[in-house]
Amino acid sequence: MKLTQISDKELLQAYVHGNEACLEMLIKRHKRKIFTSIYLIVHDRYIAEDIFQETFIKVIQTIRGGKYREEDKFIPWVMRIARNMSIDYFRKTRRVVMVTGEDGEDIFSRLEINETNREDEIILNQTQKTVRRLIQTLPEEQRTVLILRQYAELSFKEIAQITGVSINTALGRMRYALNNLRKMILEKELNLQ
Amino acid sequence: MNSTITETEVLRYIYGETNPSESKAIREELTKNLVLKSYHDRMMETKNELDRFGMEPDETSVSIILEYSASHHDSLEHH
Repeated sequence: MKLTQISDKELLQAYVHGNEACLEMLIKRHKRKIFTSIYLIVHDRYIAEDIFQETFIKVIQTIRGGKYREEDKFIPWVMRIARNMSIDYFRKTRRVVMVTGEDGEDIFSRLEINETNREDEIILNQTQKTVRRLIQTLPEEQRTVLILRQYAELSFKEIAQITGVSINTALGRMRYALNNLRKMILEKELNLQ
Repeated sequence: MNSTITETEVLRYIYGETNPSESKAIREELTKNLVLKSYHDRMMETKNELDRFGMEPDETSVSIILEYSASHHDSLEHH
């Protein structure tokens, strides 16, 4: 059986039963989307690396502690942990202005935008930097849905559940996000010419 | 008869969240509805642009995670 034919659930079950290689496969399969999502929240590569590690250590501890619920889909579950880790980071460093939202505790929308550090300037190419900056200019609610759908690859249904809105609202925010980004990309290209 | 397919449904289609029959209906509609086709093309272009942005963690981070897992696997087996 090819690796791509093995589901996350099967890999996870094999890992629970002691197959360490299956964890590596899961990380390899999903590391890009998880890391990009974390990075787009914290805006610092080194902090994103730390949170990425802490996220998976929490995943391992939960699984090994027998607390993982099989009904949870792997990626939405890992993304929830990554999101909470990112929020904890901002709380510890006091870089977040907490304002009580509808659900009493909002998430990405409360995160301030950090300046890019010098390392990032070297690492990211011009297109990546431009896209990242454009994403950061989106209204908070649109940015959250965009990151979760485009990079974390959560479904609109899962995003609706995580953010506490209806699927139609999540879809609507995504539509606005893409429309706004398109306009900005076109404007940016005009400016570059 | 006017189409009932909306831009929202096209968005779900672009992100692979429509079922086969919905996808088929949307594909058919896109061949005859130029406004919707234009919207589809614009959004696909934007999505593709966004796909170009993505970052991967350093291999060291992955190694640290795997080492942690392996070391704690051993400790649990002794319990």
